Amino acid sequence: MATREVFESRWQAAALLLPTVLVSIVFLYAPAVRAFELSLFEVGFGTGEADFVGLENYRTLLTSSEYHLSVLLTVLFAVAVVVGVMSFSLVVSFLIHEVEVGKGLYLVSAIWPYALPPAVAGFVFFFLLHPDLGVLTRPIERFGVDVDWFSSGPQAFALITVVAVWKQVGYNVIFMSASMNNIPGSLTETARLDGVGRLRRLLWVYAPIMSPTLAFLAVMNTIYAFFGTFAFIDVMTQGGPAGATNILIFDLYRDALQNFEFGVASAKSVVLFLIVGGLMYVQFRVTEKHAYYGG
Amino acid sequence: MPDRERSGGSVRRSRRSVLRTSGAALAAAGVAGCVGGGGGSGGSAEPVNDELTLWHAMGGGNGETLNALGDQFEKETGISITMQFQDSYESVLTNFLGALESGEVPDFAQIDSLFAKQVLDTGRVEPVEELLSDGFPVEDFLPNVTSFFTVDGTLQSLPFNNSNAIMYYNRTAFEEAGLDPDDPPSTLSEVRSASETLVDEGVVDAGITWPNHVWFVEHWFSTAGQLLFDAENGHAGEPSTLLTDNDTARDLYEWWRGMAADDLYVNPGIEAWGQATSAFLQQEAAMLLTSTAFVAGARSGAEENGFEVDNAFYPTVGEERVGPVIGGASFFVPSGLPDDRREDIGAFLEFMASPDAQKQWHKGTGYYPIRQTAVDELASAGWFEENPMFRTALDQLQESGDDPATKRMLVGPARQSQQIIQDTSVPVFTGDTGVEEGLSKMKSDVENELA
Repeated sequence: MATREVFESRWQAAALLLPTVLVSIVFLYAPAVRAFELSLFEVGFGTGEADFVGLENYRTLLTSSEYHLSVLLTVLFAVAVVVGVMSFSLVVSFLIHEVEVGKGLYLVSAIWPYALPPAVAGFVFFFLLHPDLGVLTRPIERFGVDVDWFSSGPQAFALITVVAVWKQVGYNVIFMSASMNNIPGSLTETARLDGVGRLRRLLWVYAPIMSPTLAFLAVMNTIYAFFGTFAFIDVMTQGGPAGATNILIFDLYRDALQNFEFGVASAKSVVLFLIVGGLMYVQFRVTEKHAYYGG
Repeated sequence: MPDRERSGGSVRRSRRSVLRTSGAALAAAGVAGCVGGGGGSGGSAEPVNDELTLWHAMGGGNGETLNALGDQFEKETGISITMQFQDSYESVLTNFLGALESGEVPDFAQIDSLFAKQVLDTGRVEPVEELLSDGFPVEDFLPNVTSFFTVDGTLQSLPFNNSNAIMYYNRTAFEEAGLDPDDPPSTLSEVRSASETLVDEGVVDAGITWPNHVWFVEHWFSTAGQLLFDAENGHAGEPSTLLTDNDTARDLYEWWRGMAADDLYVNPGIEAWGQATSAFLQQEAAMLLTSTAFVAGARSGAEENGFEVDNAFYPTVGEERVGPVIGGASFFVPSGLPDDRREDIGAFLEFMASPDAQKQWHKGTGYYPIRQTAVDELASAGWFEENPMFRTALDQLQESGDDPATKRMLVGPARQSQQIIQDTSVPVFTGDTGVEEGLSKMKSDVENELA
């Protein structure tokens, strides 16, 4: 591939890149290196003392059943959120794509939750579904469910998952709708003439064409599930009850900023980084093979 | 006073660079062993402000009362002081530890008694006893209060807003249910039978509520005369275990579980002080366990919601009643501040501990006064007769014996222990985990933190 000469001098290019590189170094790479470094120490907060302990913090994580539970929980949560968000958004986008009247209105309503800050969304659901005071609590209890996610772990986990999905639907709908609008009308027409039903058309005709977008969304949603859902946990459950919603990002926040165990928390953040990094790698490899990029 | 700023800047810079370079050098060389990173506890500290600065966690009406005391101090002494509200005890703790580490410090930090040990362990605070003038009547402090804050024979921090937990109850609901509002339950089994009556009569949805906070478990242990940690709750050495293998613990959790199973108890959530209070004020539950600092709020809240409120001693697990643990916070002072400033700091501490300030504070908030003189003056002015609700916590405190169990836990990993106790309580009272199983898990998890 021939190099294109966009800039007259290398210095010009470097100068333009500098701000991005600097910000990345200061706020991303340097703290990452520092976190790795800290993960090898036992740090005393307030005293400035730090004892080098080697891999002791990692050994703690290997033997902690709480931490294993938290990892398992987080993976389950991420799967539930990614699958939930993407299947629900796909159906919503499809319905919006198909509808004749009021398309814009539907689109805006679907995207709206995305405009809400996560902490605000957390508070809204907290009060909507509060076991004693919630507006929706009594109606739901009519169906024979005793709403008490302050005490019931599975309920709390389900609730956080639903809220996380609800919040992320808007983001997915934006990309999916855009992608669906790019599908050539001729294809839709052919499918129709061949008597392909709606659901089959969505799954076997549209989805494969949308696969690059879907692959991108799978990656973004995974990152969201791992990192972007912190506020819901913080506002609604504080990781409880009994650790039922103690996903990795909240767990390490609690260790670092409530318990001041910076060493262990840094080790946890390194592990979290490796888990998410590994997942990204797998996702890219899989989608490279299966996503349809035309041609 | 320009000389206050002298040399501080350079000290700070060198301390920070020491921190940074020592960390980096260590990692690069991979040296094992123990290293003192900071400038050491003997070094001087630099104040965050020219004027005296207090970091506190008193919001709302309590915050206003505190600010009024600050204004009064300024007027009387001509020394200026800034009161900085920092949202919660947890935030004050985080910020104060960060300040101690950086060497740029406030003059006072209001630290929750739960976290006292964590702050003491930094070795960067000065015992307040050394800041009080020689003539200060230390013996006038209520002994049950200062005994907690005295470590190694020295008063380490100045107790200021202190409280214990008491039971508030809805007199109107008691009357409607045919219970005697002048004879509130005093044990857990009486709480249960009163709750059953209240719910059966259809007066309220549930009998009782309280925030799931370790302080309440501490109270049940201390009123039963049962230590929660070994080494006298941490006051006679380093504790190594949580004492859950006893009847107090078993009876407490069996009761709690039964109350939850029969819907006699409202679970407001972990550390959900506000939720518990509102469940009581909305008359969902007829009894509430919470701090004596809620007295003023209970009175106005009950009036708003149209019922008559009263309070009583904390209900005990068994028949025995030893005494409550203290709660609330004290003022810590960093070490290494310049001498002329230390004089002003001492003046402020003495002002806040004065009978007048303590009386004003008590009346405005419900925290009990920490000086015997203040108690006597309030009594002779008829304050307690007019306001019997303010009396309860103080009686509860003063009737308490000098039992080691009534000294609140003083442990380094207090926050972790607190979280373990609170988190593990949930599956036990919901019935997801057996009582024995839950208690032994609580014990081993806390042991891991203490190890």
